[in-house]
Amino acid sequence: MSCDDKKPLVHALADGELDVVHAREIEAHIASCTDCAGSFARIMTLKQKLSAPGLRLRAPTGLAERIMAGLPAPVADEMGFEAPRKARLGSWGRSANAWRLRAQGAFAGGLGAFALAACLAFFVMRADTGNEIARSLVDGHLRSLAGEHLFDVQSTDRHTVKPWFAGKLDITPPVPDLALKGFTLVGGRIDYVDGRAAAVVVYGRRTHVINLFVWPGTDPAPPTMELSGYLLRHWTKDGLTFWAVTDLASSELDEFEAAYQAAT
Amino acid sequence: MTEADQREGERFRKLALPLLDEVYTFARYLTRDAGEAEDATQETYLRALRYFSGFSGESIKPWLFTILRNVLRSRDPRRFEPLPQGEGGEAGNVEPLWGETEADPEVQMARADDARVVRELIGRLPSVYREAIVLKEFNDLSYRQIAEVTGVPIGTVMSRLARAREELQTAWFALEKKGQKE
Ligand SMILES: [Zn+2]
Repeated sequence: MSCDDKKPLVHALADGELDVVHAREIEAHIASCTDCAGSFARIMTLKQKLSAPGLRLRAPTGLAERIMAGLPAPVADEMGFEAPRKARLGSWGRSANAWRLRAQGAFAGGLGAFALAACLAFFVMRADTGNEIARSLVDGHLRSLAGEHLFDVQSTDRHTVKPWFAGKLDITPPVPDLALKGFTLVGGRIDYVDGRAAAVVVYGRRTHVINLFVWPGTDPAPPTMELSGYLLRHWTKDGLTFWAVTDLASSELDEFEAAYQAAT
Repeated sequence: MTEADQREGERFRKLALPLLDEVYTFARYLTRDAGEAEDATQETYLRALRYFSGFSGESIKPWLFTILRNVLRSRDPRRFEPLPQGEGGEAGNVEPLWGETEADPEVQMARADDARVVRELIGRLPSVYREAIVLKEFNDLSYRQIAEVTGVPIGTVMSRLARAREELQTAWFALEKKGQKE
């Protein structure tokens, strides 16, 4: 039996490019096909080898300085991270569309190549929706770091932060005390993500900030995204959507999610 | 210089500079030359700053790689030429990566899992396979993002990636066999 039609999906599985349904399907096939199981194992071995240190390279010293020398001087007050949005909306919107059109074109062209690409289509479109939210979440995170709007209520006491949300939104997010797990509650605020109001619970670890966005609903989204160097982690519980955004390492974000989930 | 320019510069600094190592990594694997990679990386950032106001805001990483690729192509128009037999070309013309050749005793003595040897093997892949595997494994781009950067359909990205992996596995196997004989 030839599995040529399965080969691209075996790679896609190894690369984490399949949605859950198709991942299960191909996993089931691998479990019963020694040929594809062998391919999958070889791909994973190779990926392992390529994750060795010394393969991702460091830019030569001095290069960053030379590039920075060509940049406009930093803003003196370190406030206002982003230029006013209206001023830029024209070119912003236009090129976003051009970019999206190109992506769609690239994808449409691929349909002929693999009949099974349909399952990727599903994944790709979902990833697109996720990107808009991710962009909006990271923007909110960056605005908060730029000092524009980190808290509406600043307190390390959960009995102050939690009631503050009541009456301002339809939902009240859980605000567990995670100090023993190494995450300090620093406050809360209301922010807007992709046009909707969200409760934001703010935790800190060392000098890093975790903005936890919470809103009602349980729309599907990828569990983990990375955008512009920031990590986003998504989960749902009790009819609420949670998005944690931070510049902490992924292992520490895991820790945070586990601690928060265990406490709620 | 207006305040808006300064803010734009600050935004660029925060978004783009943390990706410097990644951009350089891609440039280095593509050019196989430290000096050229450094030049191309610097030019990429200068161009990126110039066009930053037109950046879509979705994800800066693929955007930077797209610019880098254009920089590399303008320096060597043949760099990303399609392979002789469509996508199924040979990894025939072997250019040593970073001057490490098989005659190099250090390479011969190196264990097969030495990073230098892996870099050498990747460096021997035809450039369209090489960029696919580097963008996937070292720059963590998704298939969709690699398709955007390289301007080919996702299906082509997938077949290039599969081909790159096959060639690396074959080369690896040959190297290990040789190691056992000695
Ligand atoms: Zn099979």
